[in-house]
Amino acid sequence: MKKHILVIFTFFLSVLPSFVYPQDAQAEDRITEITSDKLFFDYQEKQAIFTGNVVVTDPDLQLTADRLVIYMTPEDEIDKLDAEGNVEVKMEGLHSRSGKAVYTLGDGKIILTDSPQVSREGSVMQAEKITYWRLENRMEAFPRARVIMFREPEK
Amino acid sequence: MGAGLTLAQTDVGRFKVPDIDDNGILKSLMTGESAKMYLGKPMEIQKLVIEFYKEDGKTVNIRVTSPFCTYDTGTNVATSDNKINIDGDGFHIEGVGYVFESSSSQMEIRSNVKVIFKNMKMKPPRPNTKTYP
Repeated sequence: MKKHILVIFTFFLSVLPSFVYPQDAQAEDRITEITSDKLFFDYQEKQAIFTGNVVVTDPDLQLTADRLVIYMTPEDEIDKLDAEGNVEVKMEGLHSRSGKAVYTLGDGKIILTDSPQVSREGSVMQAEKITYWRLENRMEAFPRARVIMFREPEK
Repeated sequence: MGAGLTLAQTDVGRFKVPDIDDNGILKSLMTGESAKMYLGKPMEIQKLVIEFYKEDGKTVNIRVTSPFCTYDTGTNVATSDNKINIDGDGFHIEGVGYVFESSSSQMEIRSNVKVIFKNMKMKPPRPNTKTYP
């Protein structure tokens, strides 16, 4: 009896037209804005901790959460985002809700845990853990993966 | 009693406090429009500006401004209920109310936080999947 069900979620890929990655090179400055109630910043540890009504607005993703920790590289670039509490992420046609979300920029991987669900084009996926690779547009959900598909009634 | 309080207070006009490392390179420069110093109490600074310099000791790396704060010279902690703006290369931070520990490079902004990154990478670089000989 398999305790863990592994689902390579190709469904979304087959439903949607293939995602065309936008060009990175842009003439204008791209702006990333983060607002919150509070911020604790430790320059030596290269960490910024945002708490209370955290909102990240970026051309590539929108994120809201109760708490967000940003880990920076020694070169002061974003290395990892660690969000907790009522986390919502919107990007590339996906809309996720979860208790926790960890996004590592190096591999473009987002790990959603704590009752995660991902909505896309009228379908909802749920599991104990959902992982999404942005570059490959691939998603994995396990264990106890479940997909709910909605259809419009035929006329 | 009142005369005693007056004596305990020292008004300083425009001031500059440089922080220079062992090699004589300027690490930071704190300036203010005016300051009031008290015996046994943190000093009060109007129109605070702190500039942190790059390793060359000349180029400003980060600039912190605030209309008012108290500064404890013993602990190197600045505290304020006022606005704060922090500007660096490619980022801007603002908020209201803060505690800044210069010795540990830690800062807490207590409300209305807004951070803007310019040209910050929020997704990984796309690898080249095709190569042609």
